[in-house]
Amino acid sequence: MNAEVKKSNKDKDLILVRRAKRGDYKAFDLLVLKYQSRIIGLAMKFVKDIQTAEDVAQESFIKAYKSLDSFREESAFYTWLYRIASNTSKNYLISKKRKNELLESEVFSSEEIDIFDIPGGSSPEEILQANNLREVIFESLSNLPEDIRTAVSLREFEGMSYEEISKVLDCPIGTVRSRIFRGREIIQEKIFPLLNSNIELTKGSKRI
Amino acid sequence: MNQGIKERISAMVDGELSEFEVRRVLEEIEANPEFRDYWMKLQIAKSGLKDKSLGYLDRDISKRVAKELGEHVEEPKKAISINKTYLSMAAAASAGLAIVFSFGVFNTVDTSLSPEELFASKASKQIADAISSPQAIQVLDKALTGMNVTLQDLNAGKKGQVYANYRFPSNGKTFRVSLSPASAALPELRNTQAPKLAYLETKNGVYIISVSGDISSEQKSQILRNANFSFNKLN
Repeated sequence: MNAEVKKSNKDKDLILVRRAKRGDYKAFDLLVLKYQSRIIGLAMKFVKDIQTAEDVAQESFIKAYKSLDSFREESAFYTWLYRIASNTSKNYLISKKRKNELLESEVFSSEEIDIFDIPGGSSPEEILQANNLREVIFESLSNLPEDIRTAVSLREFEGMSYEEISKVLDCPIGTVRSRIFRGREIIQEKIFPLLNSNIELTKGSKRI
Repeated sequence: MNQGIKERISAMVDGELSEFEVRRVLEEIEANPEFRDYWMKLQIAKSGLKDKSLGYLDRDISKRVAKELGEHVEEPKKAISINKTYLSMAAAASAGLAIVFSFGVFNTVDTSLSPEELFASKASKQIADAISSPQAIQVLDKALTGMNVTLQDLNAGKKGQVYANYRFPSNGKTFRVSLSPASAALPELRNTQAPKLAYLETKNGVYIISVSGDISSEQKSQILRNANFSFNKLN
């Protein structure tokens, strides 16, 4: 991925962030929905307990919302949010340590944290579900029509903007947008039963 | 749902909308909470493609965050309906399972059946072939004894997994019982720190059993007990 592409991706949350800064909570809510699983995964690296990780993630989002004005847009929003969540997790551990309720965590001294894998604290059920879902997603992707699959792949794996994809594929930006949308629709249709049976996304109910 | 708005939400996921368009989409989301759900599911699919934190896809703290901040987010008035094609397939697969249990025949496809029944039979055969063990199917059946649930559909994974989706007619809640051959599940499970696994030993191998969905821990335990599960770490 070249620098130009990276730059084009850097600010993709910016409009939502700016609206949230102006008090539009709907915009911030979409950012919570977008990043909550990754922030919970990050917190799990530190606290090793899912309920605590959710609490830490919740606190992180609340801190982020309350300090949005301090976000200078010099980095991606997620990078900024990541730092908040990381510090919140560390502070939680420090607090616990002071109370002698928790031994020092090996994660605490780690500077590099891989947030993109399935964390070690996941339950077997969660891992199986994640694997099942991932399998369906990739199968759906591989079965997409060529033109749609290419557009989706350039977007998801190469991180290209719609404009860049339009140049690569020599087609209008509107066509790129339409192809990516159609590809996602097909994938959504395939994963819908899995999501519907595994989770109640809309009701926020707790799964075991 | 309006396809045009969904296309704009898809573009918003990629940060490809103008500020004006974003404002319009946010208004649409506020007016129709199903679009909020659509946004979230797009994020899950994107995470799946990029291998990000799918282990926590079922965790939704957004309402807690909103509540703490004195905000409120609307929920859809009804659950998003499953498309008709899928329902048809689910019904057919359920019918197929009934055929299988009634006659105990896994390898016979009756050509005199209607197209739907034929599909059901083929689905059953596919499932049976996938797990290569009638015992595993029986485990699914036995596991739900006394729970008054309806089988919605069965699916077979590429690696021999069997997924059975069930529904409580009384309240409409759904859940899934999964059987995964240990050979397919263990490479990932070995990397975890999970101290215990639920598994079932059959003549044809070991199956990892899991239950997920909108179901209480008591009911989950009952299902696993019915399935004669054991708690041990597999090596």
